[in-house]
Amino acid sequence: MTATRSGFAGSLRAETLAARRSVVPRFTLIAVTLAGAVAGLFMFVAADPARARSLGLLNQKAQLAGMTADWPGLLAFLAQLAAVGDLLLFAFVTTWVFGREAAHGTLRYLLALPVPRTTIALAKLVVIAVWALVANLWLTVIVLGCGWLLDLPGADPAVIGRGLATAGLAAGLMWLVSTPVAFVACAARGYLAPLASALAALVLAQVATALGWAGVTPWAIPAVAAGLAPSVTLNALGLAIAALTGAAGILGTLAWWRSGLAGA
Amino acid sequence: MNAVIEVRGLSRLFGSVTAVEDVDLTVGAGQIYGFLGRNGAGKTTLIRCLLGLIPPSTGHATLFGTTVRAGRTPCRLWADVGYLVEGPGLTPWLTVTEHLETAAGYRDLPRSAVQDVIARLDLGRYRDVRAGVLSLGNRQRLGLALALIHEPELLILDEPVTSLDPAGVVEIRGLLRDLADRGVTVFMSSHNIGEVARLADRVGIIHAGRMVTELSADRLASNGERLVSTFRTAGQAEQAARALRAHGLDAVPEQVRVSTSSPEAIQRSDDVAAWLVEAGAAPMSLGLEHEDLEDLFLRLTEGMPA
Repeated sequence: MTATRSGFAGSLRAETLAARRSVVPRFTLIAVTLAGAVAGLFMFVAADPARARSLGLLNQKAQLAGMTADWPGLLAFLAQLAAVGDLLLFAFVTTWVFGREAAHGTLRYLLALPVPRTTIALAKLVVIAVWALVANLWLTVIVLGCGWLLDLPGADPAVIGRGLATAGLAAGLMWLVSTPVAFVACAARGYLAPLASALAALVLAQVATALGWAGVTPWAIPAVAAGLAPSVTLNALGLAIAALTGAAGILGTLAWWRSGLAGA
Repeated sequence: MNAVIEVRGLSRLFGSVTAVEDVDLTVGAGQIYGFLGRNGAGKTTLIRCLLGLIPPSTGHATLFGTTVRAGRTPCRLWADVGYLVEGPGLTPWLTVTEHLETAAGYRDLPRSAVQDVIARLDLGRYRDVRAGVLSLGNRQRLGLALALIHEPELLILDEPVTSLDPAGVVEIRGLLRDLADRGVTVFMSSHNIGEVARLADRVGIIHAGRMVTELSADRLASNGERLVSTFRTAGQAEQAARALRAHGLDAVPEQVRVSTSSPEAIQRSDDVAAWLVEAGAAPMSLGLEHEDLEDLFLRLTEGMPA
């Protein structure tokens, strides 16, 4: 019995099955739902702080600085979630998809199959991308639902469209710059190092933003796109740096799978 | 006999540690090759080189005539190879059926292949049980099922009967024998001497990374009975071994001794003595000895660093 096809469809099915049957997608869905609900809660509090205080949602002395309870404010919050929270979400998913193969000892079964190793790695990257897309779409649905329930002012379709585009751009850039986590998960053969690398990237992004280097620091570029670094604007150099970081992450991961290091 | 596995001068170092050193071996089609060694002898390292999981430091291995290169072996080769190495690596939350469906997906197999291998490995009762809660023995069965699902022509198994209960051991032994009878080549490592002695057509003993001896089917069939001749020098023993091989016997020199397990030699010891004298290698002594595989293994590996 021989198998001669490239095996991408089979690899994708296998990866999808492993992901679908795990608790991790449900966990990420809950986390994303909570994040969206927090956005709604903030809007609720910002819309009427006195009511929030009377309900015990806001401390008597607390102030919500710089937050406006309207659609632009809500969508800016969504973009911020994508620009910061997505790094943790994508890193978590990527770590699980790649790191578990070494942790469970299943990697060795993927290295001598009639399917190119790079095809299997590519299928994993596709699963992560789809997962990231679904999570962000769900987050968007939750946030939009909160805005609709709170009947926020400023529901101009153009404003909403711009806000969604900004959040989408921030999420897309974050997906790109989070791909090196896949390489770290492979090379380190486990969970801790890739998660640590994501946290380090987050800290680096904060420091770079404080120093005015956000526009050229890969993990701060999504925040620039989301408008979190007001003195810096997203330019072609920033986009190129994000694209190069994404290419390095993807190609590095594929190269690792193809190398003799994978089975070592 | 076509060689399915050929290993030539294969060595593998991990830093300054030599795990496998200059190993040569050949396994023919339909053979069951038992690869015996103590823990840490280098069995699994050699298997990982055979599967292209790690590259050898020197030398090479070929499967079906194709050289195995870690990460660069033509992947079509693996369509004909099934393997179980370093225990079954399983995803805890996937069921038995889901594991096999995944394997079938990678290998582009029909759904019936899953049902067939479940029946063959007697996993029917566990088909919907998650791997994380399977007993060790059933995990091992699932690992074997994953190795067999595509009906490979070559099976490379690292300690295949580890964790199985006695009935399971007998069952798997029967399964492997049946596969070999149908032309499937089996390369199995073990530190279980009895298991290898019962099953293998040919046995290689590895110790401290070096292949210390290979035993033929004749030697195994003789159940340890062999004709042993002793000489004054190792050179004479080598000369005698060459002379016996010229008569079609499986002579193995060990320092100043030469042993042969060929039934013909055991039955015609007078002729053997005459052949040796003719070859200019008159033995100091010639007689029958009995040494089973366990005795031989211990003699070859005792007192040597693992």
